Parts: sequence; structure tokens; C-alpha cells
Amino acid sequence: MALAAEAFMTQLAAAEPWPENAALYQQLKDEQILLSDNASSLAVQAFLQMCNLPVRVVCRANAEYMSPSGKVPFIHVGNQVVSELGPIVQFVKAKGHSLSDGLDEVQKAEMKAYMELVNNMLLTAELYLQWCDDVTVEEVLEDVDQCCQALSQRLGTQPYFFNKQCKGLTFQYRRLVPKIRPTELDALVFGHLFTILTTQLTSDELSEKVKNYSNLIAFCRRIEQQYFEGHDKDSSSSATSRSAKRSLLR
Amino acid sequence: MSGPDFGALGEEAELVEVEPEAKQEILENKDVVVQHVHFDGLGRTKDDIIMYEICDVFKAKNLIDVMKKSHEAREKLLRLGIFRQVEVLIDTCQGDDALPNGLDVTFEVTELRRLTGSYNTMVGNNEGSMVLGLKFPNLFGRAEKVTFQFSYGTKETSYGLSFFKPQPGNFERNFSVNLYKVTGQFPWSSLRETDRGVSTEFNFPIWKTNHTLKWEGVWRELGCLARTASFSVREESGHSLKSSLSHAMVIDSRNSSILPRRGALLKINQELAGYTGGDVSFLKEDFEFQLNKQLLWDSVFSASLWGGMLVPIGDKPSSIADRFYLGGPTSVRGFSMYSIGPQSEGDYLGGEAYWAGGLHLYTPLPFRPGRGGFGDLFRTHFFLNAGNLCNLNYGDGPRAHLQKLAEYIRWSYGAGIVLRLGNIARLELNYCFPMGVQSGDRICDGVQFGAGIRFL
Repeated sequence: MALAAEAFMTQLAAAEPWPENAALYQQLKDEQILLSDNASSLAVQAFLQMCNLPVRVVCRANAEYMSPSGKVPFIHVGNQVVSELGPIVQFVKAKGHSLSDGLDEVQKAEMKAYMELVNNMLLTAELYLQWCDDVTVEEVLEDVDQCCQALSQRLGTQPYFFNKQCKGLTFQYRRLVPKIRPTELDALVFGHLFTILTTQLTSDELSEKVKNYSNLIAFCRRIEQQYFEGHDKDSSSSATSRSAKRSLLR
Repeated sequence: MSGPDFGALGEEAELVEVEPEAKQEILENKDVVVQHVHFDGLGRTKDDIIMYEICDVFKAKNLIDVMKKSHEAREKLLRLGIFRQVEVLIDTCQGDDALPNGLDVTFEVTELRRLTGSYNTMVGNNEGSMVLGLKFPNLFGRAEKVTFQFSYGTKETSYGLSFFKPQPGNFERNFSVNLYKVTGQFPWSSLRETDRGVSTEFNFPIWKTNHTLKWEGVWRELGCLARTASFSVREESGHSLKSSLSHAMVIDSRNSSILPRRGALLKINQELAGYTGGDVSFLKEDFEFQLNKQLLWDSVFSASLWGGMLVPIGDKPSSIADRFYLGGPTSVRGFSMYSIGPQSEGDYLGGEAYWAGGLHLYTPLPFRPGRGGFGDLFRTHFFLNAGNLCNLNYGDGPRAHLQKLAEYIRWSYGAGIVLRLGNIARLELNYCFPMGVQSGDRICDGVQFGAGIRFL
């Protein structure tokens, strides 16, 4: 029953174009939202920016109760409500926007694997740190280090994780170069790493681990500049405006 | 006073006649004094509350008065809710200090057991549940009562614990403290609500009116009943805390609360939330008025009027759980349950102001079948209902408010049969013609069935 309903919803979704008044709901920024929820929300915002889909961020104290799955963030598009990055990617794909279309099967599988890695390691680390400040923090940090190492190696010196060239040229470094688009993995990694780097916690160990990898820091800064600095006055970037006060280069 | 004229019977007849008349004289006109009042069967009940209820018996001056006051005392003792049975015995006084016109009144009482329980199962609305009730009457000897009810269902669980204490000598003045968890599902709004709360209330009579002062603190949890709930209902999901003070006044001169034949009812209720803490802040007023008059041929004419207004205080809009709803077999008949007024994608959101009125004519069933017995529980019923539910812009003046309440009036008329269930509830089966239907309202034209305790 659930599968049939989902298929039906996907059909409905495909029918309508992306509206102007799409909204993304999360908890209140300064006093309520938790580290892991902030990371998830930022990942979805980055993803939608990368797809060039306008969305405004609305902060509500009861956002997690409003969400159909209980998790934030969720988007309200037309008549539909979709929560969490995975289903949102599917929903956006049904509307005809996709970042990972150009990848072949092997790369798609690899992308899924990396996304699972981020979810298992980084997300768990964030959850762990915000709920308990315990002795086995060493294990958690070890995991984070391994995850960052894997990501750093995969990224190498490229701008994004999967650099499939797509149609069109873009102006970069005073030259016309083939356009390279990011994928949802980039959005997810950005969301988590950016949150870890810019949120003040009781101990700096987590962000120190990430800072060991300079290409990851450069990656975050690049995505921030490209997709978030354009709307400085918008509420959507005030999540990142906090970072303006605390620069990534510390 | 002269004896009857028997003529032939002579002296014997006269003797027989005089005696009973002389006895009557003793019973009716002679002064009596109630010397002792005995109580048999008191266990844990304390003496002082009994004293208050029976003190009037001592004031009786003659036998008829003693019988009347004893009967009244018996009624007062029964209403305390601590005795299963009360019997009264009046006898002449025996013993050394007995006066010639002295009387002894004895109350033989049977106290209720310390703990009574009940167990039922209920089925309804795709849900089955088991209900357990426990009652501790007369807990500390002064008519205090503790009741506990627990309902365990396939979908929801709810419970309630309540402590009640009357003032000794003044049973109508009492206070109670309640603790409860109640869950409700409202399919007309696609809303699920769970309330966990504590409340304390004082009841006291002033002249002919009954007043209630209550403080209530509730932790409310709202959620969507289905994935297809409208976004306006989704926005209200979450937790909130309501702390409110309320006052209610009731004047009831009807002879019965279900199908009254005469009398009037006026209930005025106000609630102020937010000044004693909590997330919601509002002032809510509502009233209920009913007038009944008996007409020719055993028929009764009844008119009723309900109304209410909710004014949010501060910037936050009102919550869906506080607003008024209209429509249904117990309200404006001919419309589906609570399906009148502001709505979004088929979910009814309620409104901040409403009024509803009804005119009814109750007659006995045609041809009066089962007269004197079962047939008396049924009545035929002709009705005209009207009402409106909307949100007001509180910035405008009262004239604009009245105008808003007067436009888009929904009304309906029809006839049906009413069945009275004991003294608490009634069932109705009506044929309705809804009129003045606005887009968005859901109607139930034709046959509509309703059951409840409070009908428009």
C-alpha cells in the first residue's frame, strides 16, 4: 500500500513545475536547532541551491512535529510535504531536476556508498557529541578521522566529488571551461562539514579532526561562496552568515 | 363537631365514632417534641456531617411536620452519596426521660462499601476498549470521594483520577481536584489531540445560581490523523501548555435536563488563559440559553440559543484546539459533524465566534402507541435550526462583528423522533433539509442520526 501511494505521489509531483513559494521548514536557528539537524538542513539547502530551485527557509518551533516522518528538514512544495534528504532528492528527480543523471551506474553506486559513509560516521558523531560527552569520545573521533580521510582522498584536487562534465561552459579563472556540476553527495558533505566547522561545541576536537584535511576546508569554502553568498540578505543564508563572523580560517 | 346520626344503633355506635376522631386530633394538632434522633449503621462516617443534615428534624412541631422533615433529612443524607439505603422510623419515646408527647426518630442506614468497581468493554469507531472504574466513596468519613477510571483501547489509552470533597453541612459547596489524560480523534479536522492535565474546581451556590471556579493546566499534544491532513492542520502539530482560569454560572429551573416540559436554563462560561503561565493566551466566552413551555395536548415548545467568542491575547493566533465548531446532529442538524465554517482542503479549522439557535416542537408520537409505558420515552419532534461560525477581525467595531455573523447564515428544518435514555442522554433520528449551505460545508441532508447529552 505504501509503495503504491508513493508511486502515485511521484506521478502527482511530476505533473507540476517547481512553484515560487516552496518553503523549507526547520527549527529555530539560534536557540533550538541541534547540530545534526542543522547539518541535515544545510545539506538540503545546498542541494536545492545546486539544482537552482528557489526555496525560502522558515523557522518554526514545532518543525519536527509538523514533519510527516518526525525528522527535519522538510519542504512544502505546492500541496506536498517531503522530509529528509533522500526522499527530497527523489522528489526533485521526479520533477525533472537531477544532479547525478550524468553519472554511470558504477559512479552512482559509489556516490550512494559515500553518502552512507557520511551518514554513518559524521552524523553519528554529531549525534553522539550533542547528547553525551563521554569517555568513548576517542572511538567517535577515530571514526570521524577515517571518514574525513576517505572523503579527502576521493576529493583529491578536484572541485567536486564527481566531476562529470555537462553541457555548457562557465567562466572560471578568466577562461571558459566546461561546466562541472556538483551532486547530492557534495551537498551532504558540505552540510555536515560546514556545521562541524562552524558550530561552537564544548570541545573543539571534532572540528580539529576535520581541519587536518585542507582540501575539505577549501571544498566547503568554495561551495559556500558559490551557492550561499549570493543571498546575503535572505534568511536562507543566515545559517551561513554566522560563519561570516567566525571565518573558516581560524 | 357532631357525630353521625345512626339513630337505631344508639350508644355503641357513638362510642366507636368518637374514638378515631379523637385519635386524629392527637396526631394532627397536638404538639410533639422530637426528643431523640438515633442512627443505626454508622461505621466510618463521622458524626458532624450527619448532624448538619438532620438538625432540622428537631425543629418539627407536630407529627406531620416530623414526617416531612424526616423525609427531607433522608433525601439530604442520600444525596451525600455515602449511603446505599436510608430508612426512617418514627416512634413514641420510651424510657425514663420520655415526655408524653415525645417522639424518637431513628435513621437506619447502610453505608456503601469502601471500594466499588466496574468493568466494561466498549466498541465504537473502529476501536475496542476496556474500561475499568474504581470508586472510593466516603473515604475519610466526611463524604469525600475518590474515583479512578482507566480506559485501555486498541488505539488510545486514557485515564482520570478525581478527588471530591464537600463542605460539611453544605453539600452544594464542594471542591474537587482532577488528574487526567484524554485522547481524542477528530476526523473532520484530520486532527489527533492528547491532553494531559490537572484541574481544581470549586462549586458554590449563590441564591438560585450555581457557580464554578476552576483552574486547569493542560499539556496538549496535537498531531495529524492522516498523511493527507491539510497544511494548516499540520502547522498546529506539536506540544503546547495551557493554564487557564474559568468561571461558569448555571441557572436551571427545568424539570428535567432531557426533554424538559417547562423551565429555563442559562449557562454562562468564561475562560482566561495565559495569565497563570502556559503558551496560549486568550479570553473565551460562551453562553447557552434554553426556554421550554408546555402547550395544548401534551406538546412542548422549546427555544434555544448558543453563542461564543474567542479573543486571542497577544500576537499568536488561536489554536485549533480552542476554537468553536458548528454543525452535526447535536448542533445545526442537516450538516455533517462540525463541518461548517472555515476549512482548508477538507479539514475544518473551527472559528473564533459563533452563534446557533433552534426552535422545537415536541409532541407525543402520532396515535400514541405504548401509552403509559414504553411509548412515553419517544417524542416526535419538528425543528428549525440556524447558526453561523466565522473568524472576526478584532480591530473592527461591534457593528462589523454583528454584520459578519449575520451574513452566510446556515439553517435547516425537519422532523424526526427522539428517544429519551434515562435522565442523561437522548437519541434522535431526523429527516433534515439543510439550507444556506456555503461552499466548503459538508451536509447530511435526508436521514441523520444523533446521540448525545447536549443538543441545540
